[in-house]
Amino acid sequence: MSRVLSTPPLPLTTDQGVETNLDVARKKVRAPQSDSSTIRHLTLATIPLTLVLRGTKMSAIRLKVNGREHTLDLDPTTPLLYALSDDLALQGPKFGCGLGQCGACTVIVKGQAVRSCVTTVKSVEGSEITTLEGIGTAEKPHPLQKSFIEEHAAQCGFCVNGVIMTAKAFLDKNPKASSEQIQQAMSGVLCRCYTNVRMLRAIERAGRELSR
Amino acid sequence: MKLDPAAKTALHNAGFSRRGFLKTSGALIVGFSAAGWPSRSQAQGPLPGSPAMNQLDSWIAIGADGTITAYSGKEELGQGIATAQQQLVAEELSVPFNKVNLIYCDTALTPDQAHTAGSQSHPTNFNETNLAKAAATARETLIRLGSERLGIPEAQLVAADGVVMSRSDSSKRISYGQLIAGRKFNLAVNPNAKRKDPKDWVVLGKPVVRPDLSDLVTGKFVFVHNVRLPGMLHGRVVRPPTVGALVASVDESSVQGMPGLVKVFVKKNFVGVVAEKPYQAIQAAAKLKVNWNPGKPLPNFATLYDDLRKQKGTRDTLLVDSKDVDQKFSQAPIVVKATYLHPYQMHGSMGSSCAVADVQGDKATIYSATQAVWYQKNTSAMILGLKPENVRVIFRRGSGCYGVNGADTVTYDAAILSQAIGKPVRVQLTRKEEMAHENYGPAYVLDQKAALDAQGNIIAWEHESWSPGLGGRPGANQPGNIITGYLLGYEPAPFTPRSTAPAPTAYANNSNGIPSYFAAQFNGRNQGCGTIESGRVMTHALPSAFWTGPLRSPARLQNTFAHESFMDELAARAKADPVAFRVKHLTDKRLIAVVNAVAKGINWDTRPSPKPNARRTGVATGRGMACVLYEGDNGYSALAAEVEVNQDTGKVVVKRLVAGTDVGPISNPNGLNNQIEGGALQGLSRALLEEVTWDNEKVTSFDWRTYRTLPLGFEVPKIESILINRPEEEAFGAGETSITVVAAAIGNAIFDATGARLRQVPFTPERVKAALSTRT
Repeated sequence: MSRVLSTPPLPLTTDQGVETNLDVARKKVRAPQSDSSTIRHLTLATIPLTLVLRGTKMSAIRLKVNGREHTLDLDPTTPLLYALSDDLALQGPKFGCGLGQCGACTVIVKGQAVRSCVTTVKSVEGSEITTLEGIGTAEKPHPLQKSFIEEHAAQCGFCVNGVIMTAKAFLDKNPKASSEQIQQAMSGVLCRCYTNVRMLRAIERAGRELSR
Repeated sequence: MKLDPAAKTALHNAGFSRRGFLKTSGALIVGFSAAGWPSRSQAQGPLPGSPAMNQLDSWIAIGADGTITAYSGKEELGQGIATAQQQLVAEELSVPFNKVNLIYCDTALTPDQAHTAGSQSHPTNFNETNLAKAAATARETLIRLGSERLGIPEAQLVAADGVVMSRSDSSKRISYGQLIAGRKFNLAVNPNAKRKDPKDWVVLGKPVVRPDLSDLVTGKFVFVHNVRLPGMLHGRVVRPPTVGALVASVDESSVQGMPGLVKVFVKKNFVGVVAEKPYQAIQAAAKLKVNWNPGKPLPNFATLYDDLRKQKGTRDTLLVDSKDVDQKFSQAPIVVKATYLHPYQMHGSMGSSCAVADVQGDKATIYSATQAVWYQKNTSAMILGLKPENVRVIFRRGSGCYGVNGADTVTYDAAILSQAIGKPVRVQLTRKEEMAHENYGPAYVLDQKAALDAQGNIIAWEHESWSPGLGGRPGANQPGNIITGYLLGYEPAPFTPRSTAPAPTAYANNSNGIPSYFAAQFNGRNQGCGTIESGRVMTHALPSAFWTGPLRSPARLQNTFAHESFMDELAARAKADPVAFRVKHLTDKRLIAVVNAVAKGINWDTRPSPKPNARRTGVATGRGMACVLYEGDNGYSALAAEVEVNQDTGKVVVKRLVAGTDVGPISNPNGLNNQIEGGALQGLSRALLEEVTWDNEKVTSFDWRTYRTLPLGFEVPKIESILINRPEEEAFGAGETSITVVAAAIGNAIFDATGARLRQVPFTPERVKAALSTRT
């Protein structure tokens, strides 16, 4: 005979017990894993307030990102990555190494995959810059975004920006690339969870769709 | 005998097999790591303030709209556990997958389940009286409440799709939302609650798509790196330029007037800056003049392994000793010896670590990629001088950590800087700070010795190994185990020598120090996986010059590299086929099954190694295999490799890997395969390339050029994964299975191809050529 080790059940028709801090906290939070989205809007709204020239190093830099124009008050030698991820609060490009070695920061400028951590904002002023957010959305995904989901091609996901943007720039120029060519093109990108097999398969799959 | 979860964790951390302990009677032993290092958290029950582990309300809530919220202390690191847990709750509560909202690792909301580490998330939440049993208890409670409300006996009711209804008349029904309506259960989790039969699974066991993939590929996913708070500023740190260096002086005037600079902060040996923009903080940290007093000279890189072996004052542990090994060796016709060497390697996270802290007066809210939010809450409170109950730690995913990366240390960095200025601060480490100061997987020297009889059976085997350690996970109260805590003035866990290893009294193969082929008899019962009765395993821990900590498959990988390579050497000596030789010395049926599955999968060429009539120049091909039961009780793995060795250049290309995995019931085959494939390739990178290097004063592996690692586009082998699903068995972890056996499988394949034996990882072209040149 098994003994049920529970306290005698109280009827749930009456409210019981003192509300604990835990209960209060849990009531407050609806979707805590994604609550930064509201904070992001708040920050974007305050950007105009930062357009104040401070010191001699800052100047007004014009950046065209994902089809929108921004004028930011920046040191012209600022690596593009910080303008994108901090001033513009874009989440796609990421700081992996800051040395141009891993590709996590990759964006596309004038059709080229560019490592934004070693590219100054001055050098891309006026050029069209595309980040991961700019190539597609959940509702209308780019074939690469679609194929990465279908192939389950991510583990931690931190490198995904670099992999997809590098692949996109390559496939846009080489729509009929072979697996060997794709492999070559990805040889400077890092994924430390080693999702290589699925990622290469996803890129090939997207390539087939793009070249149809 | 039933064990409560804290006891099971304590045993596991002490190195005892759950199976072994449950089957022998014995006193409960709490809190000691067999290796003498707190590289895993010391046994620790849930910290004060944690939701009570035995209460259903700590785990499950059901709203009036029927939405199920589940709370877990095991976090998604990229290994797929969030999806698996969401599937688990959906299955046990009979609702669609997307009706479950899983919240994990927020100290304001979720129970303290210590670390997400050690391949323990599945065993903890699927087997023990935690999440799985809570969900099952909730289902049974819903049936009972439904029975009361509908006036129908429980046996005639079924819970399906969010509704409790009569099996014979589905119009007699009541929804979960109506039954619970957001109220508390006020019930204990029932450890005897009945789990759903795997035969009936509709959500668990399926390749459910991970819900975070869409956000990851569209840039919507919020990593800790993406957390932003109103008024947030940016901090950067200045770390010692050489190992062990301490601050002599800081010249704040060197950065005076720099744009956006808000503060220079120094506390003991911690140095940091805060600025308005990230690049301003980076420039200030680089420009700040700090004078350092140098640390002690580092060990000689070139003689590391010899020096480890010679070091006095070690902490010795005997894992097994049949006491007749010396006698067997003296009588044996054939004795074989070999020494294996494995270097310091690093976690090498893709993204350098980052945290955002908001310390206001006596309260703190911290966004951290820590693997243990409750322990981080405690140690952050320590370094901030705050009460733990006023510190909230909220997990946000970092870059894959593979054990313990800079997540905890950068959390301290952010917390201390935020406190210094009373505003939220985001800190991210540079690539060099991430790599030069992390807690490495330590080096190993592994001596193996075995005796064969005239028929080629192994009759005795001895293992003796040396490995250094310093610090480790900070756990609940040891911030000095990692660089920032140390710089702030906390000491790492002390090293205690022990020159007489106590006689082992129970089977404890948590480190895989005991080869799979040992019988390992304890208390009259064989508890190992094999036939060899005469065996001895002695391990020596010693102090390390560098910080160390658990790196994916810690000790298990290095021990298995030695054992599985040595097993191959013994097979060659006995002129036996490596697969048949292993099976001959194994008794564990599940281990034999993965070995055979993999041999079949690769179409194993049955013959002794090396390949006969192989050419001695140019490219040669060969096959090798390795197997292990991870931790002696947590995942069966076998791997066969086909390699090409260019005997002129020493370059090794792995053409094909066949992995066999048995982890009990499979929660999500797609997620499992992702871990098996990823682990295999990460193991490949570690086997062929990775090694931490240093000169006489500093680490010289500090970026992706100086710490070599396989990139995305290297010649990826064809990987086949064979999954053996055993729904009737308990759930094992899987994240560290395939990685454990890669180095030996490749080393064995190189031997098969060329007759040259690699005993030192990584198998660089130079080492391969050196081994080729010593062939007879």
